[in-house]
Amino acid sequence: MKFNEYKENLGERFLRYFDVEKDYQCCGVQFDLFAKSNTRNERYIATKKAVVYAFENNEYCLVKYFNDINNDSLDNFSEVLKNSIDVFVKSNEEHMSSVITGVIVMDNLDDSEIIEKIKKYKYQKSFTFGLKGWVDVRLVLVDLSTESVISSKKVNKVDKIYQP
Amino acid sequence: MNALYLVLFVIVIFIGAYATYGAWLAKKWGVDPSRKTPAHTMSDGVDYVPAKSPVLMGHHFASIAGAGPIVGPIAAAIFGWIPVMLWIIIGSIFFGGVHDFGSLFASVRNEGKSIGNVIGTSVGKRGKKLFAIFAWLTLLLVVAAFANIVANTFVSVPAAATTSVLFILIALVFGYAVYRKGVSLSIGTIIGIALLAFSIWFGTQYPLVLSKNVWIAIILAYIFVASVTPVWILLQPRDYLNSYLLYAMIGGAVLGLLFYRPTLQLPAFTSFNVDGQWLFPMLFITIACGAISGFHSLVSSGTTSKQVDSEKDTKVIGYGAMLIEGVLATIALITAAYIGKDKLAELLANGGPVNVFSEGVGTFMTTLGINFAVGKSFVALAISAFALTSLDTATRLGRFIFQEFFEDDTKEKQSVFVTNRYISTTITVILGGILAVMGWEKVWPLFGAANQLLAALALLALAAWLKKEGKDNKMAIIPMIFMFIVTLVALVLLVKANMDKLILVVFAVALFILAIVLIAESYKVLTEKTEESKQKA
Repeated sequence: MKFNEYKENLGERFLRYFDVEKDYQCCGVQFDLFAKSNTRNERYIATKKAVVYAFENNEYCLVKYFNDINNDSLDNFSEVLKNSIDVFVKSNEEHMSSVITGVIVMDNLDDSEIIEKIKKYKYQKSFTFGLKGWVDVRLVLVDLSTESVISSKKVNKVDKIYQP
Repeated sequence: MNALYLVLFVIVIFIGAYATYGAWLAKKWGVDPSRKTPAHTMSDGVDYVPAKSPVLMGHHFASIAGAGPIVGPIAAAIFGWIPVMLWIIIGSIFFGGVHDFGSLFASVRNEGKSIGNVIGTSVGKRGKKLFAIFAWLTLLLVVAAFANIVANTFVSVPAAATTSVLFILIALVFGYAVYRKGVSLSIGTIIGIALLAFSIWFGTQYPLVLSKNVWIAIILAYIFVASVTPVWILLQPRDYLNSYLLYAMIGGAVLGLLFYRPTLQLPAFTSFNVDGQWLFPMLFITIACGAISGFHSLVSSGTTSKQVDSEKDTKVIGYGAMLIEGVLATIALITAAYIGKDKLAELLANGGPVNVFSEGVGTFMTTLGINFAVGKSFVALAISAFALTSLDTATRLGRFIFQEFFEDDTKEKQSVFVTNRYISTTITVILGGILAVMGWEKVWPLFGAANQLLAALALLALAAWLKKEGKDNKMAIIPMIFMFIVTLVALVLLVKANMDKLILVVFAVALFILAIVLIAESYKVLTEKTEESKQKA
C-alpha cells in the first residue's frame, strides 16, 4: 500500500469522531495528517442548565511519513510530541485527560531496537498533582510493507484503527 | 394483615387509577399522539432527542426516585400506617400524578421549557432572583437534612460507617487504576465489587464508633473536598460503584419481602397529634416523593419533556412513574409497619428512618440466607452512599446558584463570591452545617415545606396554562390550593415551635415571605396574560 492511499483511508476512519486536517504544522514540524477529538461529559440535575459537574477528554493524533528512522530521529520526534503538550493541552478544572499519539508511517522497517523502543515508550505528565488532569504521549509505528502496527503499551486497545 | 396483600392492593388501585383517571386527564388536556413533540420539531442531537418510551421512563424514574420515598413514609409512620397509606394512594393519584403528568405535558406543549423557566420568564428579573434565593435556601436544607441522615446512620449502624470510609478509599483506587493505569473497566469493576463485599464484612468486625456531631463535622469536610476536587478522582468512580450497590439493594429488598411476607404490627392509626406534631399539615410535607414532590416538576419539564417521542408517552412517563414511586413508598412504609410501635420509636430515635429501613430490609434478606448484621450494614451503606451523592450534588448546585446570584454581566470585574469557588463552597457548607446540628427532626419538615411549595408553584403554572388554553383546570387548582395551605400552615407552625432557634425561624420566615411574593407575582403575571389573550381573541 502506498502512503497516500493509507493517509486517505486513515483520514476517512478518523472522520467519524475526529476533526481532521491535512499538512498540519506543529512545533516547527510538518505533519501529513492531524486529527483531534474533544469529549465533554456533564452531570446535571433535573434540567441540563443545572450542571453539577463537567469534565473533558481530548485526543490528538499527529501522523508523519518517514523514509528512514533511527534512534536520534525517534528521540527528536518524541521531543516534538512532548513540546506539543503546551500547544494542545489547556489544563483547567474541567480538563481530565489528553492523549497525544504520534504516528510514524514507513514503507519498511527492519530495526528491532527501534521496535523495542516504541513498544516500551511511555510518557505521562500530571498537572497540579493530577487535580487539573493529565496527558499521555504515545507512539505508533505503521509498516506499510508488512501491513503491521507496532505501538506503545497504552495504544494496544486502539491500534486496529491504524491498520493499513 | 400480611404486608404483601397491602402492596398488591396498592398496585391494583394504581392500575385502575392509571386506566381511568390517567386516561381522563389525557382526554381533558387533549393529549394528541399525532402531534409532533419538541424532540422532533426542535431536534438538536443534544438536548432535544426523541427517546423510546421505556428508555425515557427509566431515565425519568431514576431521576425522581431518591432517598425521599424511603425516608418520608417511615418518618410519617408515627401517625399509624393508615394515614400514610391513604396519603400515598390519594396523593399519588390526584396530586403527584397530576403534578408530574401536567408539568411534563405543559412543557411538551411549550417547546420543552422548564417550569422554572416559565416562572422566570413570566415574572421577570426580580422573580428570577427571588427564585434563586428560594432554590439556594432549599439546597442548604438538603445539605442539612442529608448530613443528618448519614450521621444518624453511622451512629446507629457503626459497621456501615467503617464500610463507607473503606468504600471511599476503594473508589479512589478504582478511579486511579482504571483512568490512570489503564486497568480494564470490567476487571476493575469485578475487583471493586469484591473489595466492596469485603469491606461490608470488615465493617461488621471493626465498627467505627463516633459521636453524631463528630460525624457531621467529618461529613461536611468530606463534601467540601468532594465538591471542589475534580470529579474523576472521587465522585465519578464512587457513583459508578454506587449503582451496583443500589441494584443489589433493590433486588434484595423485593426478593426478601416476597419470601419473608411480613405482617403489619404497627397500629393503623395512633393520634392526630404525636409529640406535638399535628397530622395536618406534617403528614403532607413529611411524605413528599411518595405522594407529590415539587422536585419532580423540575425533572418532568427539564430533561424528560425534551425527549418525549410522542405525546401519548406523557401519560405513562409522567403519571405512570409517579404511581410506581407510590409503590416504592409503600414498600418503605412496610419496613416500618411490620414492627411494633415501641420498636419503631426506638429505631427512629436511634438513627432515624434509614435505621428503620436497614433493619427491615436486613431482616427480610435473612430469608435469602444473608446474615442479618451483614444485610443491615449493606442496606445502611447503600442508602448513605446514595445520600452522600445527594449531599455533594446539593453543595455543588448551591455553590453555582450562589455564584450566579452575584454575577453581574454589566461589570468587567466580578466579585470574589463569583470568582472564588472555595469561598462560595465554604459559605454553603458552613450554613448547611449550622442547620445540620439543629437535628434531622427540625430540618426535614422545613425541607419538606420548601419542596412542597415548589409543587404548589408548579401546579399554579400548570393551572394558569390550562386556563390560557381554554381547558378545564380544576384537577390542578384543587391540589394547588391544598398544597399552598399545607406548606404555609406548616411554616407558621414550624416558626411557632422553634422560636428559640433563631436560624430555623429566619429560614422558615424567609421561605414564607418568598413564597407569598412569588405566588403574588406569578399569579398576577400569569392571569394578566390570560386576560390579554382573551382581549386578543
